[in-house]
Amino acid sequence: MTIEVAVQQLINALSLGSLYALLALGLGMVYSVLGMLNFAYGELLTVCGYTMFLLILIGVPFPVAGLVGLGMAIGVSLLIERLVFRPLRGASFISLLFASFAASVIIQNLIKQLISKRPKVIPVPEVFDQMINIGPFQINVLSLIILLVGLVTLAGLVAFLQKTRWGLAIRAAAEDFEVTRLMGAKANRVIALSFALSGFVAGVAGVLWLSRRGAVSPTMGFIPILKAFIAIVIGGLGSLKGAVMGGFLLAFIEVALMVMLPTRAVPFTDAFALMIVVVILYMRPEGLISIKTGS
Amino acid sequence: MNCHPATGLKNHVWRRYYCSWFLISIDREILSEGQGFVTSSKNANRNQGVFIVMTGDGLYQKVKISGQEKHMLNISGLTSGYGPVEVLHGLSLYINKGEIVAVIGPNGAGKSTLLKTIVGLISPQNGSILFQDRSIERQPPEYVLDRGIALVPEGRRVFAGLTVLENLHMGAYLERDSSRKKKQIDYIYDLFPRLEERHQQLSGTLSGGEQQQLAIARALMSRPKMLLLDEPSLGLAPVIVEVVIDLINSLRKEGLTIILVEQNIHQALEISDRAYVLVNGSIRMSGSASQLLETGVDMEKAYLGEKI
Repeated sequence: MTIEVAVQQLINALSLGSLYALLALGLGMVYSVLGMLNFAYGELLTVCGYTMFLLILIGVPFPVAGLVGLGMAIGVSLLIERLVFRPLRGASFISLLFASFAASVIIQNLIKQLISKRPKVIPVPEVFDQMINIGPFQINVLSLIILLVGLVTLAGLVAFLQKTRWGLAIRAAAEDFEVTRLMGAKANRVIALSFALSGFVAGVAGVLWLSRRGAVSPTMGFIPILKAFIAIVIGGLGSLKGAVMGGFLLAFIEVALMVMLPTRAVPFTDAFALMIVVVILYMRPEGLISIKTGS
Repeated sequence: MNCHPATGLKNHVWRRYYCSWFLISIDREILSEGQGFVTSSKNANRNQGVFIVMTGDGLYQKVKISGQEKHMLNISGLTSGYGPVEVLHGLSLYINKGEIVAVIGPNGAGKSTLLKTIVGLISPQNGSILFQDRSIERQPPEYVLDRGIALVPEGRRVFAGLTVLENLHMGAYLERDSSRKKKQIDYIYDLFPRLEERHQQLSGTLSGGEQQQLAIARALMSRPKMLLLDEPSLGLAPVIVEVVIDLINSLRKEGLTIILVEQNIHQALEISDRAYVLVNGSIRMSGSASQLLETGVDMEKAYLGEKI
């Protein structure tokens, strides 16, 4: 493998990694605050995607459609909190699990009924497919955009979580929700904020995901939520730092496998990746970052 | 003070009230205080007003009655628990300003439930909690904290992944004024020099004693009037327990009112003014701490659930 290929693959891995890290952070944010997986998380990407699809259809430029899609993801995330999670506050884990699963099915079927069951193509700006030369390296523009947008969003979120009062409350709630309430933070507000942030991250990830895929379908949210779930499990359930690390690690494993596996084995990348995940969890059952010790 | 109309002596002018606590004074001289019946004109305010009482010489006299500041916290008939499970069965107690009151009792007696109900983490099924004459039962934790009650939860529960300083900032979450917050942090650092040394360290890496100091410091960040301590000595080495006890003593000197929940009876009684013995969700005994220390044998029986 030449150094050029290595650098290109490194950029690919970082690019995919920042996407996975975003996805994982969005899913992990709600999990760590509420102790509950939002199974309708993948549908936030779907909603973002279909909003963009409809807007582009009527001639709205791609970046504007992306912004509106992002807004829709935040809105729907808050709506899910309000209509599904808030009325069931204090209900059992199983009830919440099924309720969020129901929300996911309802959104998927609404899209199937109202728009179409079949995948639809989204015209992606042509510049995304071009390659640019940086020194001796040829790099795909989209990979670079995903990497930059992903890292900027991550940096922004980290700054929000580290520097603001609300960010501190979210991190505290991720550790111990009851004690966070004791400190005077309003439960509903902290939870709604975590859903808003989760929706924001899902929206950004949704725009990037679509730019890679170039198509929407009612079940398009499944792969992202799966990847996000794997990433937060590797990282240590409940740890925000772990979610980001898990996202990058998963991407590095996948890209490394795609490069190193013989061509005939490439379709089984996911299977091999999951095997490696199992090995990691065998060695560190609590994930990379255990929330009990915080290290 | 809390007075309820009582039966008997009911005509159009006079009415009898049963008061959970009253204070009768003429010209600031206290004639009598306690629990019981007072007679008052019908249109008097329930908690304050002109009452008629019989003084020692057998004459009826018109007096002013006031009992407002008597109890800082007054709990009566409190029934509380988790969901359908009732843990506290109609419990009544009071705390005066500046007191340290111990609530002791065996495991599972409902001590933590009592504290959680006071601060609003649990909504009571019945009964009333008055703090400085405001009813705080069924209010959310942020309201109770804002009124001035802070809880140091059992097992310390510091935010392990947050730094010491971030933990303190969380303690002052309701404080918007950053200069006041900074002042309070300086005050805390004076009280706990150890925490200043480690302010950038993750709290999970502190020793047990330091974590307990941090948990108390975090609660003090909200400038509470009343501090609830849930088993502060749990899991600490005896030397460290001494440190915590000294700390509680110095907090009392600063005028803080404290409810101390403990399993360790002797330690709790030695530093408190009064104590309640809580068994199976009811108050089994109560009295001054020194009294209860003397009747130690009876208390052990109370612990074992025998009828006294």
